[in-house]
Amino acid sequence: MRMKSQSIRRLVAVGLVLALVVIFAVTTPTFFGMRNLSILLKDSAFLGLIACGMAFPMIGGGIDLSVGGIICATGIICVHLSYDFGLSGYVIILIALVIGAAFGLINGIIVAKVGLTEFVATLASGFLFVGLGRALVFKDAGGRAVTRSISSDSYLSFGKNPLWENGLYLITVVWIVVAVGLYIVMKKTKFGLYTYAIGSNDKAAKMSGVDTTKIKILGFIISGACAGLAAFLVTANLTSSPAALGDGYEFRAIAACVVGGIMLGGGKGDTINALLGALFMTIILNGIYKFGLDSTYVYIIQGLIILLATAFDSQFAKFAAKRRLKEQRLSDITPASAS
Amino acid sequence: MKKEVLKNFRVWIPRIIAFGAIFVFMAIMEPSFFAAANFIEIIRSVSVYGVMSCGMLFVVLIGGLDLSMGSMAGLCASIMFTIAQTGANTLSATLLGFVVALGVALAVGWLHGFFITTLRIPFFVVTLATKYILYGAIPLITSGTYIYVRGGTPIDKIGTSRIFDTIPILVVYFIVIALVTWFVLNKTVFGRRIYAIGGNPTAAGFVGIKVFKNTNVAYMLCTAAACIGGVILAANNQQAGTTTGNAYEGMVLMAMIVGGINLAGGQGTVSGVVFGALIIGLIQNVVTFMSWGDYLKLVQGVIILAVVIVSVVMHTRTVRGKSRKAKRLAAEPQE
Repeated sequence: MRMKSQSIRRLVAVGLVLALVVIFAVTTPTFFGMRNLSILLKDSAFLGLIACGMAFPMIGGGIDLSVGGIICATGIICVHLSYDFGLSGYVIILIALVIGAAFGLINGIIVAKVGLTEFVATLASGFLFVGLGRALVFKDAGGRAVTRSISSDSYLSFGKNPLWENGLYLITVVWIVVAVGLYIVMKKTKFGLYTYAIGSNDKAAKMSGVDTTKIKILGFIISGACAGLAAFLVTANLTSSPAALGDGYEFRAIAACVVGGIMLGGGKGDTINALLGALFMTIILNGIYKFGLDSTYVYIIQGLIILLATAFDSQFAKFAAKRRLKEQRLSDITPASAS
Repeated sequence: MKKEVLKNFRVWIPRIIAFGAIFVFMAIMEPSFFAAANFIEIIRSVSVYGVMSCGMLFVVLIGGLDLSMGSMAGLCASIMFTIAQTGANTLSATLLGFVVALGVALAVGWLHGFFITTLRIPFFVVTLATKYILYGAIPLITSGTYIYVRGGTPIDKIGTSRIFDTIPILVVYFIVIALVTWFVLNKTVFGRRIYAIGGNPTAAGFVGIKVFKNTNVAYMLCTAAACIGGVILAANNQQAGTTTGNAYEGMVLMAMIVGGINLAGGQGTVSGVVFGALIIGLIQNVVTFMSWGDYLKLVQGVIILAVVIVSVVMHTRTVRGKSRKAKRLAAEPQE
């Protein structure tokens, strides 16, 4: 039995992450320290959450470019809720989920009901969400923008201190719970199956009786809700909400998904791929800072990663198609000995 | 012929209404808006958007989009300013700087085309990636600071000269580039090919149009326009650096959408782009004039989303209407 091309692709992603781990373990002796690992897992949680959510629209053959805007708007609303109304962090996390889901619903309706292409719709709504975030920014009496820090203990408990000394952070726990939940949704429910069907062939899925409108909207809602959750956790980690919150997150999330092995055309990959990609991106970004490189290299390296990963995927898809054709020919010649 | 004139007129009605609404609104709210100095300000910002939008038009017509325009503009301006400064701001150094910047822009444009056509990667992923790469490259060239030019240097003359001591020279670049774009799109074979590819790439390929080659050229024209736009913007501000042209692709995209250019490709005119650039320049000016700066992005977002949705709904309606009409015509003779 030969390996499926999808498993090969995942092995490549695992290999990339392992290679990075080996490189950094050799160059920095403190890499395997509990403290460093727990911080690494905390940092990858934000990106991991967004990427896991983004996996749904991407597997469905689309993309969600508005997650940066959703994080911007939801993050500032969360800080407002804590600062102005004094709500508990546990309430705000639920509200953040709902707000993110509502933004996702807007995306879904524009895409599935109105009929815009995914990237135009989410690009446009992303502008709107960023604008909303900028309009809601804290101002002093003179009308200038100021940052307010969060003082609520329940809010900060998510990001400030680990659960036990040098252990996991609450952010990481939330990430793992959500990732496992989404994996089950993706693999074990009808909704997940239909998402794959739409990503593989939209028309065929529709003709087979799948309610593609509903499935697409649900995918965007999941992506939005994950972004909303991430927005809450990011602000809890930063203890405030800067005006440029969420800038570039959609880009990083796409990079994570693509490196992890979720193909841009849709229909392939799952949340584990997104998880691997998020780990890869976080380790490489941490490494850049650790080696003392300038922060502008972060932009360049992220961009190159996306270009290289997508170029690899496009060539890999060609290779896989050729291999399939060859196998088919072999089985045509010797039908009896195929098994 | 009469029908053609009527059709053109129908396109212009909403545009004139939009202009009228803005002017009436400002006449009521803030009469000092109508000062000559403010109009010169509007012309200046409109010119930069207009030059960049003309380049973007080529890419949008073939059904693509270039999200890296803002970063490209900033990078080209930085390259040109750095070379000019190293050459003590002589005319030849400035020209050399511009040529190098244009060369870099064309190379990046070709790379866009290569990734999009040969490697078949979606254009928004490619140009989003290069947006960040180019943005990250700016500080490497300017060594993290801003490069300023003093008055009297060639760069300063490019950006801040005035015709008859009143009208900014930037508007001349805009008019020239808009005319050239109009000529290329309507009077040359290449222009007709661009429309054909945007309308249906497969059909265009069957007709014998080299789709890959023409797509590459369209992306190269787009980055070249970004380069020119960035250079005149930076020359007008007398400085180049990381914030030069930052996020301009959003404004250019808005000019496209407001100008009625179909983002799916194949439909759009230069007059639409000119109108789009004028409107977004006006809106930006109005918002800053009323000191609603915090809400600028929100207003832009609402407009972009609303116009996109309306145009798509209108499009599906006309398509439906046409098919209904065709059915009726097909049914009539039998009665």
